[in-house]
Parts: sequence; structure tokens; C-alpha cells
Amino acid sequence: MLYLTYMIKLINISKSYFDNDIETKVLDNVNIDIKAGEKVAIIGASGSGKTTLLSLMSGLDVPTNGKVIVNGDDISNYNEDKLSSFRSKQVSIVFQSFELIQAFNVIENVTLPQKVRGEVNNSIAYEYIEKVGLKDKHNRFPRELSGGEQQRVAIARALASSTNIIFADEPTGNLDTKNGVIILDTFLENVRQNNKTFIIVTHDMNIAARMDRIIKLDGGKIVD
Amino acid sequence: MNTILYFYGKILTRSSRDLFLSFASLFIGIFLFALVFNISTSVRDYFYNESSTLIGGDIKYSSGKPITLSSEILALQSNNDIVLQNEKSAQASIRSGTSSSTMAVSIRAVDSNFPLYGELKLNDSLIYTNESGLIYLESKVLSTLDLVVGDNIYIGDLKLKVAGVISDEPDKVSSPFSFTPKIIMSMSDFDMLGITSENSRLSHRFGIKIIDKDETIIESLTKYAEDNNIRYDSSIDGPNSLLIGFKSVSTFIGIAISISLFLVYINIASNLAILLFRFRKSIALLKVFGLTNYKLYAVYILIFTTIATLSGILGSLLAIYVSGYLLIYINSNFGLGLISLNNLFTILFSPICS
Repeated sequence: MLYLTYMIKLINISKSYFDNDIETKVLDNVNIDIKAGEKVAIIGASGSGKTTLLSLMSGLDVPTNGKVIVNGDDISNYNEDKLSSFRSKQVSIVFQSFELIQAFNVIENVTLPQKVRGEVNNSIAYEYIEKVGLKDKHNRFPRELSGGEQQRVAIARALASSTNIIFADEPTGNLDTKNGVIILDTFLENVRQNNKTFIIVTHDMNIAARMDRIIKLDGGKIVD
Repeated sequence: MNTILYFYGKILTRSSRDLFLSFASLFIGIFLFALVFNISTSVRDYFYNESSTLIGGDIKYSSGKPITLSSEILALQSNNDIVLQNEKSAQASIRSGTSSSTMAVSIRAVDSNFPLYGELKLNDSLIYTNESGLIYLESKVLSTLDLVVGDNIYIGDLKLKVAGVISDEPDKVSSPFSFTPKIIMSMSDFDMLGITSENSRLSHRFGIKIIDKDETIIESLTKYAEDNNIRYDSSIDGPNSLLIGFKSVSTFIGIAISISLFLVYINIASNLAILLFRFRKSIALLKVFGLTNYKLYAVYILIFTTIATLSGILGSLLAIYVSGYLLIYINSNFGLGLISLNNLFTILFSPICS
């Protein structure tokens, strides 16, 4: 019950990768509290551990040490299937490299998380496809879209999903400034309307400045 | 279940190009395997099921010397427990009555019990009778000597009338190493040729039909052959002498089936690996968005099963169809009854063939 005031709570999180018994520490004793509905930017130089931190919070990876508490549940000891179920119900993720299924068209990619959960709301999917500026392209396949358009499909997919938390890893990195602003506005509007928690990894300080809080990483540690 | 079926349907229809390569590869592999398997099993079954006809008896004695039958065997004949069919064969030169051209032939002299199994078929619906003065020959002899049915030919000084052209000899495979055209005549005429002296290169045979297939009779007949150094073929164990040649073919077919089975196995394994490699990103993404391992396995197992089943059924059907026609070809060119054993082909394709 102590953790319920927080949507995400990281306690003494460390993450190391091992190659022939040689340890590479990516995150070192990280503690973070993120409240429900909070918008957080994670910034830092390349290799500072931003994407790893996002992976741990979203249940894509598990920590070497420490606890990841999301919505009151400790997910750090979940097995693969429980993590899959957690991701399906709780989080939406926008990746740096779009991660669309090439065999699926725009509307099918956008409704993919809903299909996994066994629930589909096409009207919401079409609404967000329109909001990201792809109204006439819902039947196109990823290979028929530009990089920026593919990224907008990935963003529509995250927004159309009825989850509590959205994780975004450089979501506007492939977009021009104008489209980047439009997309960020769409994100923030969706988050505000639905009281979602939004965690974004970015190098863009203008984007970071629009969040409630900025967490800066350096060498796997949080710095002020 | 709906989620599994949704992703199964989408991936199956949307990745048809990737899946078609696997389908085609499996289809060819299964087709070749089924073709080799179907033909070899048809041939093997034919040899085993028709062994009495192919041998020319349930047991057949063969020797380069005259075969003396024991009193026990003759007693079995007297009691109608067995039927004996005596025959001799030799190489000879024959000429027609109207020309001086001659040709080498294999003479087969048979008694009135010939054939013990099956039927000697003649062209033009003529009926075979074992009468002296008549001779039956293969069409090659007829054309080489420019003869027609009803003409006379001479073997030595013996004048014989051509009574028919052999179209199918039931036990012709029992002497597979005779390359000269064959003629069939009665034993009494053959004995008048004067080539029955001990120095003549004659083959002597006794075909034995066992009426009740009594095991003690079979044992005593085979024991007699073994004790007296008489070579024998038994349809009980399969046609031994025939299968000396066939066994090498059989071994070859076995190796061919094993190799094709191995290739099909490698084919399936490599296809699975290639397909999984092609779908690795989709699998990873579906996992990221929360599809559990169980559902992922179900989706891809359903896809692989569909591809394997379709290619298996279509490849097998085509193999049955092609092997059916191959067996018809073998049947018409070598006079074997292979096609009658290929029941699956008959059931599946007889409407098309007719």
C-alpha cells in the first residue's frame, strides 16, 4: 500500500551485462519515484543508461539488483509470461526504431496491442491515425511509408492503447521540428485527458522542458 | 483463441511470399519421397503377392542336370497333394520354312500342366494348347523370320506350325537373364529335337503346386532340394532367385528412400529455421506487446502445420498420380501387373484416367 501513491517506484536498481565474466554496469543503484499522471523526461548522454532504464520500467528487461514497483506490483521477479501480460495491460511503448510489423498495414499495426489483449476499438485507432496526420494512409504497409510516417504510426499505436503508462524512446527523433511539436502536443493532450503517466527519453531540452520533471543520467547514475 | 486465430490468419495471408518458398521446398521434397516410396512398395508388393505366378509354382526346382524326383514326391503327386509341371529349356537356332534366314532363340519346352499359375496370353485372342506340332513364339521371332501365324518353321529337322504370338507369359521373369527371344513348345516335340543328351546345355525345371499349402509338404520338398543340391525357389519365402536380382534393386531403393527421407528431414528442419529467422522480428514485437509464449507458439505452430499439411497432401497426391502413370508405363512395357496393386491411385484418380 505504501507504493500505491506512486505509479512507478525503482528501489536500488542496478543493471549489469556480462561478457566472459567481465561486468559492464549500465545502471548503478538508481532510485526513482514517479507519480500517477506525472510527465517525466529522462535525459543524458549516449550510453548513460536511459534506454536501459526505460526497458526496466516497462518490463522489457529485469534488473540485476533492486526492485521495480509498477502500480503497486513488484515486476522485477516476474517470469516471461507475467511480464508479457503486464506489458499488454499496463504499458505502451514507442521505440526509437518504430518497430512496426511489416506484414501489417497501418490500422493493423495501430490496433496490434488491442488485438493482443483481445479487445479492439477501431474508432479510437482511426482517431489517432488522423491525429498523427495519416488519415488517408491507414491501409498502407510500413514499406510504403517514410521513416517519419512510420514513427507516427508507432506513436498512434501507443496513444490508441488504453494503458496507464506511456514510455517513449526519442519519439520525435525521426520527425521534422513542425511534426515533432504536433506529435508532442498530441502525446501531452492524450496524457492529460486520460491521466496517464508519461516517461520520455530525449536529447531535446525543449521537449524535456515541457515535462513535469527531468531526470538526468550520467554513467548509470542519477545526477542533479 | 480469437487472438491466436487472428495473428495466424494475418501472418499466413500477409507473408505468403516467404511461406510459399517453404511450401514449394517441402512440396518437392515430399513429392520425391512419396514417389520413390510408392513405386518401390508397389514393385515389392507385386513381387511378394505374385511370387507363385512369377516363379511358376509354389516351389520350383532348377538344375543343369536332369532332376530325379524321389518316390515320396511322386507319391504326393499320385495322392493329388501336389501338381508337377516339368519343363526344359535350351538355346537353339531356328529357320523358317520359306527362307534360309536363321536366328538364335531360347526354347522352352513345357508339359501339359503349364502354366501352374496365371495364363499364357496370345495375340489376337488365340488360345494356348499344349499340342505336339505347335509352337508359340515372341513377336520378334515372327518379324525377323518374316512369318505369320500358321506358317511352318524348322528347328533342326523338326517341322512345327506357328500357333500364336506370345503377348504375356506369366512366369517370364523367372528366367530374367535370357536375352534371346523365346519360343514355347511341347515337351514331346522338344524330346524329338535330339538335344537332350547329357552334354547338351539344358536347363531342367520342375514347378510344384501344393494344393493345401501343407507345411510338412513344403518342408519335405525344400529339404529334398537341399539334400540333393537342387536349386529351388519358394513363393513361401518370396521368389528367391528372382529376388537375388531384386534384392540389389531393393537395397538401392532402400538407400534411395533413406536418402530422400533424410533430405526431407533436412529440408523441414532448415525450412523451420529459415522461417523462424524471417519472422524473428514479428515474434519479438508480438512478445513486446504482450503476447504470451503459449500464444506465440500456437500461432507459429499453426502456420508451420498448415504449410506442412498442405505441401504434404498436395505432394503426396501428385506423387500418387505420377507414380500411377509410371506404373502404367512399366505395366504396359514389361507386362507386369503393378497398377492393380496401386489401389490408392485407382481410388483417387480412376475418374480422371477414365
